[in-house]
Amino acid sequence: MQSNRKGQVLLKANLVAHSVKLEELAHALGDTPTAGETAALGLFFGPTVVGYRNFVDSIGLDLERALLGGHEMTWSRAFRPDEPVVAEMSMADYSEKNGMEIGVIETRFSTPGGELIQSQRTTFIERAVKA
Amino acid sequence: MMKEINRSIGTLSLEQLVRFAGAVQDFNPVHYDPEFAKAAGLPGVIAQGPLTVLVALDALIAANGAANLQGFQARLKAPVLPGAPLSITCSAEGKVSLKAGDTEALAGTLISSQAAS
Repeated sequence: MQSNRKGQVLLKANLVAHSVKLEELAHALGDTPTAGETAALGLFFGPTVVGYRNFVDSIGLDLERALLGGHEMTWSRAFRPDEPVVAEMSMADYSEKNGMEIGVIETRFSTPGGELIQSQRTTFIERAVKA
Repeated sequence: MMKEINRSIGTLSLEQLVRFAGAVQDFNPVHYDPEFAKAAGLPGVIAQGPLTVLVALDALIAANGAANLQGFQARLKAPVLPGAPLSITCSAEGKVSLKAGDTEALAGTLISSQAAS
């Protein structure tokens, strides 16, 4: 993981909360009675909004040593079908502990007018290289 | 106050993992390539962490209603393998635990709209 990316904006993207994607996600959740509502809150996973490879490359993450340690979501409302969304991802924190690297990625999802819809903080842990 | 829950929520299938990968563009091979997953020290392919989070959130929304919630903080403590029986508990204070078999896979806190306002 590249510690020098701490505090930097990593990626910015213009997205659409496609209704088809909402349906796909609800299906992935097992089409439970509330899957549609859950999909409208969890449509985007910050680090992969512009493709997981772009994210991995942006911080130099080694996938064979990487684990997702935590994920926090705070929302003011659900995403609306087919609304445009602006996503901005930054590395909010970086630390090292017991040979592991820990990076916190913050992604903010807003309307083009600047209304914050949802923010996410995602913690990645990169395990130490085995000797 | 949250509704207390303590119930089984079924399993995640490999098909759900693949569908989720497509829906959110998360194509880390540990979620579909058994050999890659084993090389990474895992017993096999594992569910995407965000999928595990959303499966838990879905059960919490079913109990509380989406309109009453404003956030969810989840720590992922162990991987979830396809086919593992999942169960979830939530206390009135919003403390959440998701188990895969006997192993706690997720511990979290549910944030109500009232608490956040």
